[in-house]
Amino acid sequence: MLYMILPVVAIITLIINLVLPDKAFSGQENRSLAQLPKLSFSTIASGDFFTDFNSWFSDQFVGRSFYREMDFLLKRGEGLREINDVFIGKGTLLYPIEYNPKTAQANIDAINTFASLSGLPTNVVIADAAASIESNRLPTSAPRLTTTEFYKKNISSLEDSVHYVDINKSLKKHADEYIFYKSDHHWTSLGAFYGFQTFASDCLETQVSKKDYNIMQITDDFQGTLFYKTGDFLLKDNIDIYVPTDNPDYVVTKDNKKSRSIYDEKKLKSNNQYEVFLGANQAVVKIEMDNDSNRRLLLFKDSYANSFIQFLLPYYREITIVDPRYYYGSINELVQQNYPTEVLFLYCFDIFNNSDSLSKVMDRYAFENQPANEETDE
Amino acid sequence: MPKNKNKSSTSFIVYLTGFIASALFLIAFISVPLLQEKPSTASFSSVYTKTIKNADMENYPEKNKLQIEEYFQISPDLFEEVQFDRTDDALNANELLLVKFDNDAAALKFEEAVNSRIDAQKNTYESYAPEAYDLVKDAQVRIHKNYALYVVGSEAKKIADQFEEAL
Amino acid sequence: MTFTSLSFLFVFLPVTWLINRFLPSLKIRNIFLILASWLFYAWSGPSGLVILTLMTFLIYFSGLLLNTEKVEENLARRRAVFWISVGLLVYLLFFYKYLKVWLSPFINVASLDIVAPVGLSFYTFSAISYLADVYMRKSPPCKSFLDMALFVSFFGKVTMGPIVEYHSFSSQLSNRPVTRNQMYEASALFIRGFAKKALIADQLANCFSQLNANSTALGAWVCMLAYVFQLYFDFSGYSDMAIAVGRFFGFELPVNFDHPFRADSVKDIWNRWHISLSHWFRDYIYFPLGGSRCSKLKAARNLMIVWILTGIWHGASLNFLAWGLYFGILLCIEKFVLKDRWNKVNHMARVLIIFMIFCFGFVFFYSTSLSNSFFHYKALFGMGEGGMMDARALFVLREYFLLLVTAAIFSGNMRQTLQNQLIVRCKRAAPLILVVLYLLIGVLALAMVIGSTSQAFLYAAF
Repeated sequence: MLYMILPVVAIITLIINLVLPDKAFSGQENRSLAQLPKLSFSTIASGDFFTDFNSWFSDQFVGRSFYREMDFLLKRGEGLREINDVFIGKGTLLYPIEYNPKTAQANIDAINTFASLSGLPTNVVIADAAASIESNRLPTSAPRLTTTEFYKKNISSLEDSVHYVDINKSLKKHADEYIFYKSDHHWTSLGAFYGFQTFASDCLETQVSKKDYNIMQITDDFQGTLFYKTGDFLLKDNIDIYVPTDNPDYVVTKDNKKSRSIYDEKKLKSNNQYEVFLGANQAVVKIEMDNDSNRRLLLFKDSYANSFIQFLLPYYREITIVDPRYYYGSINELVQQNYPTEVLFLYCFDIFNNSDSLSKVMDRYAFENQPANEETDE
Repeated sequence: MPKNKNKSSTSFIVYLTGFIASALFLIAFISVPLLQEKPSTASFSSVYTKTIKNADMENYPEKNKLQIEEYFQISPDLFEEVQFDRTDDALNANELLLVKFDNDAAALKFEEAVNSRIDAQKNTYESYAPEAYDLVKDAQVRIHKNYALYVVGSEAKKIADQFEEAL
Repeated sequence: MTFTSLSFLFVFLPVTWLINRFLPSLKIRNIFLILASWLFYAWSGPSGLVILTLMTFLIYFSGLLLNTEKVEENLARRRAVFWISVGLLVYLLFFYKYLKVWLSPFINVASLDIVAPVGLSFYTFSAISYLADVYMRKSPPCKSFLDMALFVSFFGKVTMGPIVEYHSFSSQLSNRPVTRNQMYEASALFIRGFAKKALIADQLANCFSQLNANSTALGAWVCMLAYVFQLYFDFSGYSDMAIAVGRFFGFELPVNFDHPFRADSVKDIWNRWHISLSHWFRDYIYFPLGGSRCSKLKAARNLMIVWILTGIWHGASLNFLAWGLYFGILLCIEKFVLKDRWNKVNHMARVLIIFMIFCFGFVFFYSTSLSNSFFHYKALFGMGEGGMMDARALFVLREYFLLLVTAAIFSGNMRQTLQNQLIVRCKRAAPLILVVLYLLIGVLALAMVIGSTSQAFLYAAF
């Protein structure tokens, strides 16, 4: 009987595959799907046609998302607790801790360089890795790496003029709360709130509590970067926004386009709902508030800060936000055009250790600002 | 008897010919690709012009060649001639790098640097800008005896093919 | 195209089978199968197809030439034709597999763009077997080029074996009926092979790659065991699928694996592991050299020659030579030193010891070089840098423990035992239950194959 079923099933599947129209994009994998390759003498002679055909057929295979989910369940069922380097922890997904002393130190040196050359009051916040704060949620027997060396060695080499704000004590205290997303490597707005609470009491001389905000849940089916890495479709996240009760009016300028909200609601329908905070990654974003503050902030960040900004709005007149990973221009220009009164470097442990764009940008800044009669030894 | 002998003689010659021919073809087939490529005598500017012919170069404004140090971590001094086209907008994946050189070490360095660049770009765009990611994934890298090209863009393949024809 | 790719499972195989089934005559079927096989082969690299066809022409004409009067009657001419052809084939292997590695200390090979065609080692050996069979007069030469082409390129065996010897295959070119029972057995075998590869081998590969660089004893042991089981399930799974595919088209391909972990002597291992390769070396190197029907010294020399060549066949680097020497020396010891004394040892103990010997030998196999092999051996004995264990080794063991145990159990007779139990207990419902179970396993294996086709998200998505 089996020998009759197999060819029939195979041929029916083939026919279904040929008949159904091709999809262009996979939401489940967040990438575009291969299309039907061109059949020509050159593509056959080079072998490209065959590899492209394989990609096309497998990408467009009927029921692909269903099979991928089954594959995940099988892997998890047989005991796998780490897929593509992401840990499948207890009720959450955790990005691994990757400490790169060289990169970290280069970035620290960059901060020091900037602080001394610009002369502006500089604060530094570096949120600890989720795997470190929520380490009890790692899978059993998972190798437990720590971030202590980073905080002991690298952070301590910040210049005395630079003010380091330790938000991690507070995060650790609230580790059992929903302060990190289950399917994404970012902190939740609650986590950002606790971070802001510490920052506010340290740098803004203000004490804040949840009562100072209107907390609204804007989605309950967020699946983030860790979902795409592991295929763990069982975890879904909520995203809350914290709108200060005394929020000023403001204008956001991005890419020469202006808007009145830092929240991009269209992103809630996209594959990366976290982008509701400030939209897709941009080199420079400027927010101008209609309030009486005389403080202007220059904020160097990675995507962690995106959900932090909602808390900053009432306290500044202007916030200029720079993501060094995408900014190839001149820092001098930024400083001269926006004349900030203070600077904040807001990063998470992971990017601070993995991306040296901050140090590259500051190399350019140092180069631009070298005194005319001095030689650099670069 | 003679008929058989004739038949066997002809078959002997046929088989012998087939045997020798297959052997020669085999040896030729594997030896030919080993022959070293000769350097191109075309001038750098003519190669560049022919490479970008009929392509929409709006997204490829010329950049100072010193900046390849920043983007690719290699020195422009490695090469005889350099042409680097790219916008300042980091979220735009289009870029083109054409170099001329006179030694194999430069070719190797070019290959290394360009592959690192492709990996870094993929890293940056992945999960956030799938269209840019796709463009980088289909990046064209063509390395020859004294010219090499790296191009990312919707017309990358066409530009790369024109490059090879220009040599 | 591999047997576990979706293009093969759902396009190439069913379409080829369907067309083949409805073709009117054997001759037309043969022509169709050749074209299908060439397409299958071109799928992995069109330039390789040129090598494949030229090689087919070469051995075709050689065989016929050897049989003509002018050559047949003259020993010198026979030798010339034979050794020139074999020499060319060996040169092909040398050129594609060994030239770059062996000549790299002497000349600059980095600029040479040499990529070996898929399966070269396998079908070249098949081709040499044909030449040798004709030369040693074991078989008459193949008169039809079509038959020759089908023998060399049949897609069921061209990329990964089993290595088929011509004399045992030639009759099937002109006569191969397909019975219903055969088809049923083949379908079940196909799914079993597929499951072996997708459910077990491919998953264990991940375990292996995570611990490959681990220098702790625990890590090295788990890595070694994972590799041995991965290799077995991968290769025997693929061979199962190959044999099944052969049967779908009426061919009986030789069995390649026979429960190798039940071996109770080193000689027994090689009666059970990659059998077609052992037999090839036995028939075309060992016996022509004199085998064991000569002085003990010569017999030992013959064994060592066979094993040095077997090692080299697997790879160009020194660690493969070491692998071959390892088994060659052990076989010599078993044959000439231990002789019958080994058989008196308790059977269970023998099986365990041989399994350990096997695993230790294969450390050379998965190491990337001789020094890498020593790295692994040091770690195995607890003398590696990492000491006895570390968190990563423990974690990976925990993750893959279930899979490793499953692999160990199913490398024996478990499947057959379970199947028999089912038939005994469920009697009439058994066939239906079996069909459902096989289909279920097929779907699970398919899911894991599809799961592995996603682009690996290797970078931090920030």
